[in-house]
Amino acid sequence: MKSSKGLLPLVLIAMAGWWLSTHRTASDWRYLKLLVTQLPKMPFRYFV
Amino acid sequence: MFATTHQKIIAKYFSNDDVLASMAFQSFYAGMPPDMCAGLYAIAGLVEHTGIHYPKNGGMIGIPDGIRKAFEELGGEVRLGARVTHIITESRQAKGVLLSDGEEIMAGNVVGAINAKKVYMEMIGRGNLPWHVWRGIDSMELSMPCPMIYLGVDYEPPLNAHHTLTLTSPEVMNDYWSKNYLKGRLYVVDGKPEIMGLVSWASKIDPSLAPDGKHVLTHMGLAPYDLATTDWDSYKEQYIDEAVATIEKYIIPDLGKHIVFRDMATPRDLERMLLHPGGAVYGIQTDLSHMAMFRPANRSKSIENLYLAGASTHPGGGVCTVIAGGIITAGLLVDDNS
Repeated sequence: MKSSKGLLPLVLIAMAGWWLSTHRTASDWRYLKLLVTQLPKMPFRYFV
Repeated sequence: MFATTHQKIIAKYFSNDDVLASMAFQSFYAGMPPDMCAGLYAIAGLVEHTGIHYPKNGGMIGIPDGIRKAFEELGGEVRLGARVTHIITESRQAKGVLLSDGEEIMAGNVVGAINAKKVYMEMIGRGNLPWHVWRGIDSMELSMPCPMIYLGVDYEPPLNAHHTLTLTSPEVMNDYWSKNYLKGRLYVVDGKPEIMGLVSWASKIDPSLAPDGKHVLTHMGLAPYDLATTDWDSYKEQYIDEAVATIEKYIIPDLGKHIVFRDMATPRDLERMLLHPGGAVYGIQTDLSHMAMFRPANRSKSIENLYLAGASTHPGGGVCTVIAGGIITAGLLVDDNS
């Protein structure tokens, strides 16, 4: 259980690395920026 | 479909620039360029190409006319020119509406079919909403406005389709958004403004919309609400001139010589006439962060007996999408009252 918890950040980092390595155009970065900037607002939007 | 963009979805299936442009343009119905719009919205391109966007008779106004007739046949009463200024609430329950002439109409259910930001922030008000709901609605981004030009021409225009674009590729659309639109500017080519947009030839489908031998065209442009160097009321006539010049350059040479009537609704006009904040006819923008459960709900989550319909609610903006949203809201109303 303890070792699987320790693996989780590694898996997430690997997934993020894979995503970044396959999404490298200016459009991809723009879409990522949009999602990252909107992410903190989404929990509040859920209640509307 | 959710995690990728409109542009990526269509690029999987098409490579020709003209086809890509015709499939990508619909992202602006969601209020964004194709590389920022959610991939799910690519379905709008398919819908457009199947032709179900176009009412066969009576033009677009035939749709609300049909809804009104159906409502009256069921015993409903439609009151035109009666502007609602407030939704009356009590203990977070909708009780009715207040009209601009001071009349109160009490009702068991209230349906707001205008922009949800206007419904919550102006017609209900901050004091009647929980703080987190206020913060949620306040954080929502409006879709881009679409200035509309209406033209009457004295001949059959040399077009071969109901819809024709003055745009050339998804890259141009993306470029326009980041380098011009967000800075309050229109697209410029060789020092001259070019008005990007979609020309609709409604009298091709329904000739009764124009007198014999004449036709009507509309141009739906892509332009910012806040202009960097002028305002819409001052710019209106020049905008029409620039749009006609752009149409002449790309699709209808000599159009200007055949225009016998011209008018337009600027984003400011759309705000004044239809209560669209920012002239945003497509409501709230439709990126991943404003979709499904993150878009204003058709049955209000914070005000009991309040329902919402229209472009800013689920599933989104555009004629077919709004009709689908109206059906969802009607279903909820029926379920809750039976």
